[in-house]
Amino acid sequence: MEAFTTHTGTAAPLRHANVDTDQIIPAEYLKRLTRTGFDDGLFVDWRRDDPGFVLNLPQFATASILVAGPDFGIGSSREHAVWALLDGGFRVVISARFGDIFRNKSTKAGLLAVILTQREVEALWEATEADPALPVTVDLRAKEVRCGASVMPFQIEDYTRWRLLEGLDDIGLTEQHRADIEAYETRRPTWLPTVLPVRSG
Amino acid sequence: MGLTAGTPLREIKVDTVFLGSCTNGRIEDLRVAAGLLRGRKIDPDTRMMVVPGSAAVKLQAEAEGLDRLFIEAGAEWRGAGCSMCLAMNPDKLRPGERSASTSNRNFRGRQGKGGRTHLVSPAVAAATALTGRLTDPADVPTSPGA
Repeated sequence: MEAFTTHTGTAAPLRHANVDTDQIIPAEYLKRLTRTGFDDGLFVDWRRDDPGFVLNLPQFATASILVAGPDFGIGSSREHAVWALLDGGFRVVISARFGDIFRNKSTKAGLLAVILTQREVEALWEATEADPALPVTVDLRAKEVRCGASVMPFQIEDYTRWRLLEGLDDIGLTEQHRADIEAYETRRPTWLPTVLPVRSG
Repeated sequence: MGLTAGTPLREIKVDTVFLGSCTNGRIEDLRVAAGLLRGRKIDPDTRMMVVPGSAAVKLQAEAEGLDRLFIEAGAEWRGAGCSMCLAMNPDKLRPGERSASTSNRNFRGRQGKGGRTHLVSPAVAAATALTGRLTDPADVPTSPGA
């Protein structure tokens, strides 16, 4: 997965609380065997029904940071919600609280879920609504969000931060042990199943 | 939800009863519901889908003859699957339609865009299918076929 160190982009203010994964991407958009192209279902009902929905506004069309109300990503366990946000051009979601499952999945796919206070979220809403082109920097090394003159530190577990900085998803983590896995496979009787491609000869 | 404050639950008409999902589609759930439907017909304006929680549950229910009780009552006996729990396939509510559903999630639009979901137990689902309105199984007289 793509490593996350520092990202600077513009932010879209999503003034909704309790955004569940059925709103992020309805189930009928999950029927795909690949892991790409889920942006077609991203917030699709809101995008279709509400011309004023933030992601329908041209000034927020290229936003890469989503600033949402509290309890973002609650609801069904749905990795497609993370993929849809990534496919829709987002690298960061900021909220005062996240659904645990969503947050866990996001860190495994390279989408950074940043927890700020609701007061800071509201300051970002006001700042980006006043100036949609305002650059916002999310610095995972320094563990802070910078916007204009304000610096907003955030907490993140060391392990999750390390994985994101290194760009290690679950497969990448496993492949860190590739030498050990290969050594094990050479000792393993040939008639047993292997996790590596079939050995020639 | 299209409801008016003060409306008794018993007066709320539903269009669809969904009995199923991994949460409430066990063999015990189907037995409870089938017992309430035995010898009765569901409300003619109400659609009832019965979707076993797994293929094993479906086979067990058929071995016990529960499928016949559902079909004779006017319900649809379906293959195991997710069905109307999450509107991923054509099993979904149309805008404004109301369901009594034994699934466990009622996020907006979960059962189809614009649909309205009331989460109920398997027993309430069966009692509701009989009347077409949210119904307490305690209000259903003892089954004539029991």
